[in-house]
Amino acid sequence: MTVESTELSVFPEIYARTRAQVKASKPFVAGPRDLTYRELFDRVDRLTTVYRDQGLLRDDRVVIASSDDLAVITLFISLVRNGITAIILNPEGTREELQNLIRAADAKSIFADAEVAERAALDDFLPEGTTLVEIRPEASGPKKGLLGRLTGGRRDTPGDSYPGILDHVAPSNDQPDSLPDSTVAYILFTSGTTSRPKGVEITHRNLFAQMATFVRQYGYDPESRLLNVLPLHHTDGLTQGPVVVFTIGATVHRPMRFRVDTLAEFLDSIYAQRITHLITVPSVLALILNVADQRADCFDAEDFRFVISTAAYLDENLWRDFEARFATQVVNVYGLTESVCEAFYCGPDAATRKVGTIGKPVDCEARLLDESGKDVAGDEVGELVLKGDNIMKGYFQMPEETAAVLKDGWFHTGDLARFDADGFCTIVGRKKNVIITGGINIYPEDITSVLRSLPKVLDAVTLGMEDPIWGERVVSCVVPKPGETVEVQEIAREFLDLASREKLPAEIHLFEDLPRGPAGKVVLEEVRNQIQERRQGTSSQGPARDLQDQLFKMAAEVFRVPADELSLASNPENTKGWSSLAHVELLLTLEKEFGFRMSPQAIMTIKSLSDALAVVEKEMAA
Amino acid sequence: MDVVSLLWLFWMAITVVGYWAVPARFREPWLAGLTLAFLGYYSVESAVILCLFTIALYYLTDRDRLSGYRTLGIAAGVVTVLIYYKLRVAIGFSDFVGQVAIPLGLSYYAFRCLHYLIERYKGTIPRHSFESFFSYLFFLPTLLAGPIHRFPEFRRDLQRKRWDSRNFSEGLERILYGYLTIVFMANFVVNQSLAKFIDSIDPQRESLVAYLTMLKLGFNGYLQFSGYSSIAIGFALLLGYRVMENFNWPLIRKNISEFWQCWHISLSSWCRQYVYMTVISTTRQPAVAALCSMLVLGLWHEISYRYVLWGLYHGVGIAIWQQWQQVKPLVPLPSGTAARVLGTGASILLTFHFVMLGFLIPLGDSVSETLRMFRSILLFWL
Repeated sequence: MTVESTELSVFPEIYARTRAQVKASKPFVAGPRDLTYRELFDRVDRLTTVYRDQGLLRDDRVVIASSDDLAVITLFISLVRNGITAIILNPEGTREELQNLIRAADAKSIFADAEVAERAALDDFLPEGTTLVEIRPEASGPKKGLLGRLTGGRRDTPGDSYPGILDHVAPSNDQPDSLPDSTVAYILFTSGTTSRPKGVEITHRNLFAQMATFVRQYGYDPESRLLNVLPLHHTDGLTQGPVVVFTIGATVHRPMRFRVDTLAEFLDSIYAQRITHLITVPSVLALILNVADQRADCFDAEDFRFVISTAAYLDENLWRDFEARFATQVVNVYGLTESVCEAFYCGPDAATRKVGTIGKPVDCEARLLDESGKDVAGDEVGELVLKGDNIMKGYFQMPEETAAVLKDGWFHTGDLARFDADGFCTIVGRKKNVIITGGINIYPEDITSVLRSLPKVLDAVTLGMEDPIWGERVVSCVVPKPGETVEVQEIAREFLDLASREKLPAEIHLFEDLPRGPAGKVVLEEVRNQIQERRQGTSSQGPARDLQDQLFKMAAEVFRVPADELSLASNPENTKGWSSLAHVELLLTLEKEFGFRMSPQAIMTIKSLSDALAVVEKEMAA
Repeated sequence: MDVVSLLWLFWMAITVVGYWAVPARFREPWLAGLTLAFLGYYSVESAVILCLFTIALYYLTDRDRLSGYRTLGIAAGVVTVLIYYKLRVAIGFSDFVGQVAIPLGLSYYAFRCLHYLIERYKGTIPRHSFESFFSYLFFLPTLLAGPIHRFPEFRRDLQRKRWDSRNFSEGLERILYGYLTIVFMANFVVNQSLAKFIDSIDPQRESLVAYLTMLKLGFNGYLQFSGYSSIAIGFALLLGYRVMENFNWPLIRKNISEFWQCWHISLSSWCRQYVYMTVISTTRQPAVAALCSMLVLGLWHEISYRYVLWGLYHGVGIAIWQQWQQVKPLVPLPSGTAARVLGTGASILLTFHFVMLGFLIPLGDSVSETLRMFRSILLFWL
C-alpha cells in the first residue's frame, strides 16, 4: 500500500493478549532447545531496554544475520513490538552479499553471529554510529532451580554479546502502547548478489492482515503445532512459522535443519510432536514421496490436519500422488514476498480447492491484465495483479521500482495466469525472469553477473530447467576467455567466494560460444536444447535408464507381473510374486544376463529393485 | 511364566501404569529396569547372564565399522551360548535345571542379538546409545515369546514414542483378542470340546481319531502361539510400540512357501534373511538354502532329533515346491475359472494337511506314536 494509513497497528493488542492468556511455560518455539513464552517475554522486555540504551527509535532499522533460530525469532518479535524495522539476512551469505545488503539496509544496529561478523568483516566495514552486537551460541538455557537463581548467572555468553547482554539490563515492559499500522515491521531482500538489492517493505497493517487470513483460512488455534523448518530469512519460514503462531499463542516446531539424510527423523517428528500442520515446499514433498515405503504412516496421526505447500509451483501429479499415498490433504498456496506471503489458497475448504490450481484469492482482490493494462476476457491468459491489505508498502528506497509494480494500489506480480469458469486460478508462466528452485527464488541475472565477474570467464548465461524434485534447476553456461583453460570445479569454487551456496548453479556447462539472435540476445531456447543434448549424450542418465528398463523387464518376467507395475521402490512386501524363490531367480537372472557373480555381501543387501540396480551398476562399473 | 495368569496381568499392569506415570525421560529406563526386575524375580541367573551379554555385545560392536572377523567371532559366541544352554536341556538335565538354567527368553534374545550384529556389520544400523540397545533387548512385552522384533523399527518407535489413545485402545483390544484366542478357542474349543469329542469316538475308528488328534495338536499350537503373540503385540501397543505381526492366516495358504511367509513371521523372515540368503549367496542352490533354513528354524525351537526331522520335513517340502515351480509352466493344466477355483482349493487343502501332519513330528507323544498316526492318517483305507 502506498497510501500512508493513520490507523493503529493491532500488534500491541495481540502481544498483550498472548502475554496475558498463554501459559508461560508453553513452548513458543520447540526444537533441540525450546523457547517458552515466559523466556520470550522476558527477553523482549530486556531487549526493549537494550534498544533504548542504543538510542533506537520507532522506524529505525536493525539487521539480524544469524543461524541461531531462537535468537532471530526473539529479536524479530522484540523489534516489531517496539516499532523498529527488522531486516533479516541470510547468515550464509558471502562477504560481498552481506556487505552489499547491510549497506543497502542503512541500519542503526546489527545483531549478527560472531562468525557472520567475521566473514563480512563488519568491524572494518560498518559505518560510524552503527552498533554491532555479536550473537554467540548459548551453551545452555537459563539456569534452572534455586541454585541456578542464587548463583545469579543466566547464560554462558559474554556480556557484550547476545544473549549475555540481557543479563546486564533490567527488563522493561514499556513498549509503545500504540503504533501506526503504517510502521514498517520488516524488510526482506529478494535479490542482492551484485545488482541493487531490492528490499520488500512490509508494514504492520500488511503483516497482521496476512496473519489474520492465515488463522482463519487454516483454522489455527492455540493448540496448533506447526512444523516449519524453512529458513527465517524467507517469508515462508518467518511469517508462516513464529509470527503466525505468536498471534494465537500456539507453538512452532523447528526440530532440525532440513537435510535429505535426516528426512526420516523429520517425518517421525510429525507423529512424536503431534504436529497439526506441515508447512513446506514442493521439492520436500517430492523427497517425502520417495521414502513413502519406509514412512507410509508418517501422517497417520490423529492430530495432523494438512500439509501446506508454498513458495513454488506444485506439480499436479506430485500433488495427487502425495495425497493418495499418505491419505492426507495438501493445501497449495500462491503468493510472493511482496504480498507478505500468500494471496491464493487452494484448500483446505472445498470452496477454494481444485487440484492443479492455486485456488482462489482470499482477503485480497485479483485481476488479470493484458499488455495494455486492460482486463482479459473469459479464460484468457493475463498478468496477475493483486490488491489488498497484505500488499507491500513498496521496495525500500526504490521509488521507481515501486512505481513500476504498484499501480493504483494494484501489485503487478509478473506471473501469467488464467481463471477458469469457476473462478479457480492457474499460473501458466512468468513474465519476469526468476528461477524457483526448492522454493527459493533465484534471479538468473544475479548468477550470470557473478559468473561474468570471474577472471577467466568471458560470457555467461543462466536459466532454469525443469526438475522433478526441485521444480527447477539453476543451470549456467559459461564461455571461457580466449586462451584460458577452465574447469567447472574451478568456476564453482570461485563462484562460492562471491555468492552464497544456495545460488551456486546445479549444473555449469562450458560453451565455446553462446547462440545469439539477430539483436545479439542469447537465444535461451537454443541453449536449453543444447544442454538437453549434452545431458543425453554425455551423462550417465541414458545408459542408466537402459539398465533400469532391463532390470524391470527381467523382474517382471521372474515375478510374472507387468513391468509397468514395477518401480525402484518395489520390494517383496509390495510386489506380488516376489517370493524367496523368485528372489533367487532374479539374482541368478541378473548374474546370467549381465555376466558377473555377485559377492555374498552384495546379495545380502538386495531388498528392493533400487538395491538391485545399485548392485548391478556397481558390478558393471567394476 | 504363563501369560494366562493373574501374575502376568499384574506385571503388565504395573509396567503400563508406571510407564505412563513417570516423566517421559524416565520411561525407557523404567521399562528396561522393570524387565530386568522381572527376569531377576524369576531367575537371577537369567538376569545376570543377559545383562552381561548385552553389555559385552554393545561394547564389542560399538565402532564405526565392524570387520567380518569380529562379526563372525561375536556371532559364534552368541550361537555357542545358545547351543550350550539348549544342549544342557537336550542331554537330559531339563528336569533338574529346567526354567532356571536356560536364561528366560534366550532363544528370542539370541536371534535378536544376531540380527543386530549382522545389520551393524552391513552398516544398516548406525552407531547409537547403549540405552536404546538395552531397551531393545530388555523389552518385557516380547521377552518371553517374541516376536523377534527388529532394532531399526524399535528405535524408530523409541524416537517417536508418545501417548496415543488409538494405540492404547488397539492394544487393549489386541490383548483381549489374544486371551480370547488362548482361553476360548485353544483351551475350551480345541483342548476341551474337541478332545472330549475325540474321546467319545469309537477307538476302532483309528484313522478318524488320529486325524482329529492331528487337528487338535495343530490348531492348539497355532491358537496358543498366535494368542501369545497377540498379547505381546497388544502389550507393546499399550506402551506406544508397534512390534511386527507374527501370524497372517497361515493355515489357508496355497503352498508351503506362502505358509512360511505367514507362520511365525518374525522367525521365518529372520531365517530367510540371515540363513537362506547367506546360503544362496554362496551356493546359488535354493533347495540347499531351504533345507538349511528350516533346519536352523527347527533347532531354534529345541535341539532334538524331533525338531531336526520337523525342520527337514518342511525343508524338503519347500524344495519340492521349488522344483514344481520350475516344471509347472511346462505341465498342461486345465484353465478357466472353475479349474482355478478347484485348483486353489486343492492347493490350500494340500498345504494345510502337509503342515498339520508336520506338527505330529515334534508334538506327538513319541516317535512310534507319531509313525502310527502317520500310517493311520495316510493309509486310512488299510
